[in-house]
Amino acid sequence: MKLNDTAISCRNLQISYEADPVIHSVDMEVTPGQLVAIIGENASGKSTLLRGLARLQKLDDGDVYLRGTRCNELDDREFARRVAYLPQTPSVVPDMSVRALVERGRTPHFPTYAVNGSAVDRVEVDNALEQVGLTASADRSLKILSGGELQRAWVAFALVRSPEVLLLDEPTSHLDVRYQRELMQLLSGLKEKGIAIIVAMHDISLAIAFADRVIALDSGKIAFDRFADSENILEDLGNVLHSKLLSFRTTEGSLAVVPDWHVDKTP
Amino acid sequence: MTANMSRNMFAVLLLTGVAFVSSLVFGTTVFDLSEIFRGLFIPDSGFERAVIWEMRFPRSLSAALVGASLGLAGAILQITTRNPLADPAILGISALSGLVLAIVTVMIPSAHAYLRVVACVTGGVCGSLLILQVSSGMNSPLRITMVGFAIGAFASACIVGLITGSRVVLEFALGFLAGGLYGASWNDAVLWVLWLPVVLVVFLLLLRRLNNLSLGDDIAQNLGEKPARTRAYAIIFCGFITGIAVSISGLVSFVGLASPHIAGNLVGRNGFTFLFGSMLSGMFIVLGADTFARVIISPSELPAGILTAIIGAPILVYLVRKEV
Amino acid sequence: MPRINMFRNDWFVVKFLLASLFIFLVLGCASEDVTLESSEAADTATSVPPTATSVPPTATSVPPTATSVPPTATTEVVEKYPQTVKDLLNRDVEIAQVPERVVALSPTALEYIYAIGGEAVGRPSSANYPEEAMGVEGVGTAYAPNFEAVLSLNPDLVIADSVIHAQPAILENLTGLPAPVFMAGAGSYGDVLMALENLGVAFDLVDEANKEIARIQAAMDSAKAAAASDITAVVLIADRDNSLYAAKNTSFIGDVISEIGITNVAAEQPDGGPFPGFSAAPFETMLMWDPDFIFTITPAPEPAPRLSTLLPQIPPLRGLGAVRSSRVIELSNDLALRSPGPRVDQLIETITDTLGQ
Repeated sequence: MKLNDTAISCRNLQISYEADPVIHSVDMEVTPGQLVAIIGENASGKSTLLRGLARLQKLDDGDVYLRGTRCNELDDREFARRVAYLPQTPSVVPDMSVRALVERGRTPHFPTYAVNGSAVDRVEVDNALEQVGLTASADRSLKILSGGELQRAWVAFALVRSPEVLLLDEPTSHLDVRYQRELMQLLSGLKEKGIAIIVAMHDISLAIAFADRVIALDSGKIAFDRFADSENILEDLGNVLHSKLLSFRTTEGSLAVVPDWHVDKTP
Repeated sequence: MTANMSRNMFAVLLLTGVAFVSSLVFGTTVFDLSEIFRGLFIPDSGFERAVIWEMRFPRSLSAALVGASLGLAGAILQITTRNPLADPAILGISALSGLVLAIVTVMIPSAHAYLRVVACVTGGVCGSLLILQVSSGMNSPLRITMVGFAIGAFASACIVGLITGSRVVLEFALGFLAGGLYGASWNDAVLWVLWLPVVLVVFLLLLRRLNNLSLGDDIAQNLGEKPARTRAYAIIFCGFITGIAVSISGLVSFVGLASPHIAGNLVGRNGFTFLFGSMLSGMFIVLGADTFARVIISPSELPAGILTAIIGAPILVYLVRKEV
Repeated sequence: MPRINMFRNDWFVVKFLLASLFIFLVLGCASEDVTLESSEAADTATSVPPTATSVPPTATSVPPTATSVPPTATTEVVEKYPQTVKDLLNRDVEIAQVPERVVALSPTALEYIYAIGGEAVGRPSSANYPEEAMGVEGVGTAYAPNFEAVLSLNPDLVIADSVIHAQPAILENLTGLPAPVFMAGAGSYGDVLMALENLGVAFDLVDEANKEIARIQAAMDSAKAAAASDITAVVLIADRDNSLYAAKNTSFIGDVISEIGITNVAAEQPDGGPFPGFSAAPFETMLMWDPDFIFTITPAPEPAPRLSTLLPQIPPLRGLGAVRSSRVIELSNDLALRSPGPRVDQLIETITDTLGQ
């Protein structure tokens, strides 16, 4: 695939954290409108990979490309306009309203020394709020939102700058089940806008249900990179996670994946 | 800003105004409002003019400046170090400012007032740079606070050492260490002229960046900001305004710590309202403490720095209990 | 009876502690820590023109004449004011007419006024002498005079202290006052004589001033006579940690001692410690000096033990000649350190009595 056709890609990425190598030689390509799930164990390097793609981590080697342009050649603000990154939800919730948070997300489009936005920015804020379904709650304080609403507010914050790429680190990990589904549906809906979405996740069922592609990360290397509906993906995933996985198809046709917890309790 | 916050902001503004007027009214002699009007605006009004224009008004302006500086510095430090227990005194910036002043006073005993201000500001900025340098690479707010505490303790010990060795320093040292506005005059009040434009300009430059910084370093960087640089500029700015406050009032404690919490509770912890509210709260505390200091054992005076701790500490304890 | 537990929760403890701290501080500041005062005294005696040798008062050299002297004195009286006198910082102070509302800002200044027969309408709250002045309005402490209170008394003359108030911060505020300010402290023996003389002129109480000066000089002459050559002495004071400091000749008491003709063993020492004009006096140095007489000053008020009783109890110092022959004498803290001034004759007499033994 030509680099120019990809929304974001990386070649030979090597990242170390405090002298320990974390990511070894990762190659990856994501096309616009694709939802990619990155699955892996805790220390496999998911967060580090995302941060490396978001230019938040120094690269030992390799390059990241946005539509074929090397990211090093883009200045901070242009990169910020094109790539939105959300870390794992911080424990401290900012003391502001939903609208105020989303307004902050327009920062990459402000002139260098501006403090606030203009009319154009306000329109974009309204659009983002509508996309995530928080228009009614726009003036409520973040502190009184439910987990799901809070996460959607952060997604609106990321969307409002009209990015090409969305990087999310474990957005569903602390959410109740009903909000997890809600969030993943929202992210799916964003595909039609041509945004490339990369999500690091724990939950395999969710990944397989919503993602187009699944990339499995094992000790800093890509173990495999397949479409979500490909054959034998479950077995390979089981190997990556070092745990036997069981799956079954529900009557509605979705795939449910659970670890094999069977314990022989017979004396 | 929610309706509640607007109402609270207005209340804080009003209370600060009342505190300012009270500081003009109360003292060894108690004036009524007409006498204050005459003292301020009519040059020939004799006794009122001498007391209000030459003594109380500059002193109140100086107290307001000290409170505004410490309140603003405390708020910015709490945002940038992400530590609710940060303030210029705890992080050693005030103490270092005092140390440079003490050194300059020992070397040049008859130092002109302007030289003393320069010394304090230099010390304050050095304190900031020291904090930035020693805590670079440290991500934990706790570590940065401990480093600052160590710097402050070291600087305070040096000041006491200088006092023991040199009687020149002793002249101003005891009032300086307790912190207070005794002897504040127009020489001090005139520092507003330096302070206002600098603060306004820096405010405009830093406000957005500070707002984004408070969302987290990663998110801020992803928005196109440079968190490390913003943090550095902000802390150096705090060193500057702390130096100005120290040159007027010596080492006043608690104001930088309590003001942001008071403001945060009343007008929210974000943006311009937080910083401005913290400034006003600082002014309110210092003006109130100074008025009390002058009145309680009149005609003698307590050092206001003692009163800020006495007033500030219970407020802080109350707020902490409420938050937890 | 059920057990009553006051400290039910930590909030109560906090309130209790803060209240007690607050009360303690108010009492402490209001009653004025004596040690604090004495250690805050700035020594600017070096800026005072050196008049260590006694100034012969002009009055005594004029023999009283018979009544044949024509009364031209009356015309002189009319022209006494306005006049300019020099204060102890060599400043020219202009006095428009006889001062009637005088405010004193230090105990020394207050004593000067009353010694020459004048009166004050304002005094420092910490002053305790003379009796007649105790009813006068307080204007703050000696180290932090309350300028508002001074102004509200509508003074026509303010007597500040050339030793305490010479620092720029206070001097600035003083020169801003509408009344003339005369700086009169007691940094040396000569200061006392000069202050009395010049204030006598300022108040038009020259005769009374001269009487005071004569009395003081008489005491000094007696002391000089009693002091044989080669007598050594040291004046000691202790800080809160019981470290000893010895007076140099730049301190008031050191200057008085050397004026009498006693050799002050600590004269050449470097400055050290919290007391201006004093140097550190560690035990080894004391043993090296082994002075003939030891004078002590105790800033803490009764019932704190006097340094003269404590000193012989310190083992390293028991071998000192002065300790063995009981020549350790306590000097009054008020007269020697806290409020030096016209009562210096009493101080000198104490020393004379000691020398006579």
